[in-house]
Amino acid sequence: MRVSTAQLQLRGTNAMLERQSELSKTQMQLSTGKRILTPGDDPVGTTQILPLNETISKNKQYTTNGESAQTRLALEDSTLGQASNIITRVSELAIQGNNGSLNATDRTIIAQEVRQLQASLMALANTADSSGEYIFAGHNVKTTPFTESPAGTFNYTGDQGQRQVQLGTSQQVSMGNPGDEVFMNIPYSGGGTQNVFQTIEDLATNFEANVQDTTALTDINAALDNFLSVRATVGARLNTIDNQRLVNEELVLQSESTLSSIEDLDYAEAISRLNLQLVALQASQQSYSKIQSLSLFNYL
Amino acid sequence: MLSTAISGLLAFQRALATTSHNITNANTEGYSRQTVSLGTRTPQLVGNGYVGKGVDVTAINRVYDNFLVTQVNDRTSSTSEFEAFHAIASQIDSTFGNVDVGLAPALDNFFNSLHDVANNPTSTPARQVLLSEASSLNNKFHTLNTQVEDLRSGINRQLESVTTSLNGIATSIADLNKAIVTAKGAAGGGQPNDLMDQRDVLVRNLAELTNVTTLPQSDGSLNVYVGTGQSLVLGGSASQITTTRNEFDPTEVEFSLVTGSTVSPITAQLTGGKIGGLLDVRRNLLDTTQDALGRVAVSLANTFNTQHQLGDDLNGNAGGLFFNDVDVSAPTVLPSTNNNAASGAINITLNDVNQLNVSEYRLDYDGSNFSLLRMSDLSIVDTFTTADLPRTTATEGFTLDLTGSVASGDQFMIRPVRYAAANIDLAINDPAKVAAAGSGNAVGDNSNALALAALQSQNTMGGGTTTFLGAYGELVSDVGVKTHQSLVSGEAQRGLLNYAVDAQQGLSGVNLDEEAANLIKYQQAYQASARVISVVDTLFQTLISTIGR
Repeated sequence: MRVSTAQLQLRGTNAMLERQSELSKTQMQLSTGKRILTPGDDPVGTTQILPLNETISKNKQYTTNGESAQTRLALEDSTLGQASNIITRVSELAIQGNNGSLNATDRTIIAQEVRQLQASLMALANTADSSGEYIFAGHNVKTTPFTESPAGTFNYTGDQGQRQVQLGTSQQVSMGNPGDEVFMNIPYSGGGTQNVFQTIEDLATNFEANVQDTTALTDINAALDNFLSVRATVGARLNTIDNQRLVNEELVLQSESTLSSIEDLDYAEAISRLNLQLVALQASQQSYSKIQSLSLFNYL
Repeated sequence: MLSTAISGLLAFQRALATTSHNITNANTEGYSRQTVSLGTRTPQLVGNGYVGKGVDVTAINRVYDNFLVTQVNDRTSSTSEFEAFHAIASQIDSTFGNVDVGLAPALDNFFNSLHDVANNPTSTPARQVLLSEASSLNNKFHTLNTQVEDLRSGINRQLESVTTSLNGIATSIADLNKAIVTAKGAAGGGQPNDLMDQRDVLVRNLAELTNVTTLPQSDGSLNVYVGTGQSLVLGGSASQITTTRNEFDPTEVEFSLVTGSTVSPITAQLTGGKIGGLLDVRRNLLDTTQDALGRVAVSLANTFNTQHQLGDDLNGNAGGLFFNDVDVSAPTVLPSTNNNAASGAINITLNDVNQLNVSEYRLDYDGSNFSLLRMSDLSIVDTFTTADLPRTTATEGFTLDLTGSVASGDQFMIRPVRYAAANIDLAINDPAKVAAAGSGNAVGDNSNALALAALQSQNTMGGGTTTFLGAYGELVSDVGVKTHQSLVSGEAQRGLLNYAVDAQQGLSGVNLDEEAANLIKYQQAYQASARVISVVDTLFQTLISTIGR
């Protein structure tokens, strides 16, 4: 086939330009470490990248959610632990005060300690977290949940709300327990329920009057049982959070490795491709200069 | 004998001149090599036979094949069409799919910050972060939309400037036609090769702008047609193309052909070339991208607001709008400028954002029926009469109504989502107004925040088939596919163009080695003729010296 001189030159330069453009792309891939530089490079692969990124971001957030619930539940756990210690001490004092050999003065002294413990328990029930939310107030977190009225009755002003936290796409866990469930609705030996503060109040009142209180111990133990069972659910939830965190982390890891296989560069392949392209460019440059130096005019 | 030798000298001078013309134009764009045709002169009858009287140049022709040139022009048009498309598409592609610039990360961050509010519903800092994440999400909508708008106005400017060069080329072709006809007449039918080459270059420049067809005339002029056969150049006169404005949307540049006093719209007919590519990318990429982005904005604002209003804020008041009511303000109906002057307006309200499609619609009234044409797939999705108004088209998620009257031939362009991404904004800036609690619940409740956060994973779009991110992902992959296609098609067309140019240049291009050989050939022939003259001289001297003694 006949070839025009200008075309011969143009072909040579076009070939070099094409090689250079391929090289530039490989170089971009190598410098970013990404196989897909824009969605146009691999539209099919790209459709998976966005949802994978979302999964990673979502599950990391679930883990953050879990951590925030953990802080809150850990505070509840330790508060319940202290409340159990107090109630155990009240129970010891009740046994001590029911000893027949004690006189009125002894019982008054015991009653004093019981009242102090009652105040401490009240303070624990009104525990607030670092952001000033009462942890045993249901949703009514900004109002002191437990108060004693001038008439001497104990009131709960919180509600029955339980804040949930999202641990996974379909997994939620409560961040706390409403206060009435912990301190108010405790089975009463006299029938129905009674709050733990009233139980302690009754005990103190009896001892101040130098009266033995045999039923108090039952009610105090019922309160302790209640604390322990609430604490057990808190422990179970902490476990759930831990387990779910592992699940989420596994999911993140899997997604990240899938993502990497889609968008990350296979360096070995890219480097050997780079070498091949360098050789091709060199070859086209050399052939260009060789061919261009040939001309019949050189011999005229 | 002397005159025979002189005829050789003259002919080979011409041949050498043509060869050197070829050599000097080896790199001239569009130049076709020229060849000298030699022929014997009419012989002289002498007694018993004819004696040859020498050589004549019968013609100087360019080596040219109209089919090959047409092929080059056609492929030039397709190549520049795809390249114009790709140049715009690749810009959209690289921003919308970008991990840092695209919408996806902003959407993720926004929903993550909702979880942080759910974890700590009374925390003002957490609420503040939510508002600023929402605001940066809105900024992403604005930025992406602005990019599309900038490209759109860039395309409009390019179309304007392309029109100027197109008209310039058309005029030049007409002028060349005149010059060629005159030159051909003056030369008694001999071709003005160089002028014809120049005209071919202009036609190819025109083909870069739009598809052209040409028809050579017997007088040497060339008629040029664009579109589906609209004549741009007829002999020595050229029509002009003017830019006009779309009948619905005055920001869109379109074209009309002006022939004498007749002005006819030609936009729909113009295909191929840079103009075809730009019109195509505007319609099939920019419009759809903006609609798809706007659809996410409308759905997010509407769905989020609906849930937000079900909750209570930090002050115990019922939640208000979180995003502005872009679902009310953005849907737009544009009447045609050709509508009857007395005709009224069509109003649109969205009634189900879940059903919205990535499309604009054209509503036509034929005097008795309205027909609603979905532009994305050009299918008629609803037909109704004025008695049916207000009309809800359930599959498209909106309701149309009429203020005033309509007349036959009225048309309206309906854009339910096009302008939403530009206008989405926050309706609140007080962190306390975030309705995180369930209705009637105290401030520590986070159930509404959880419900809002859950919207991230719910199929609230595309008729319950996809999430916000999923719908955005469809947009990104659509752009990716179109960008990829235009790149691949452009490369394929470029390859075909190279073949066509190779074939055309193979025939018409100058090969310097060949010309060098011709140079030697004609030089030798010239020398030989000169030698004949010297032989004639010797013969004459012989005669003189013999007789003169």
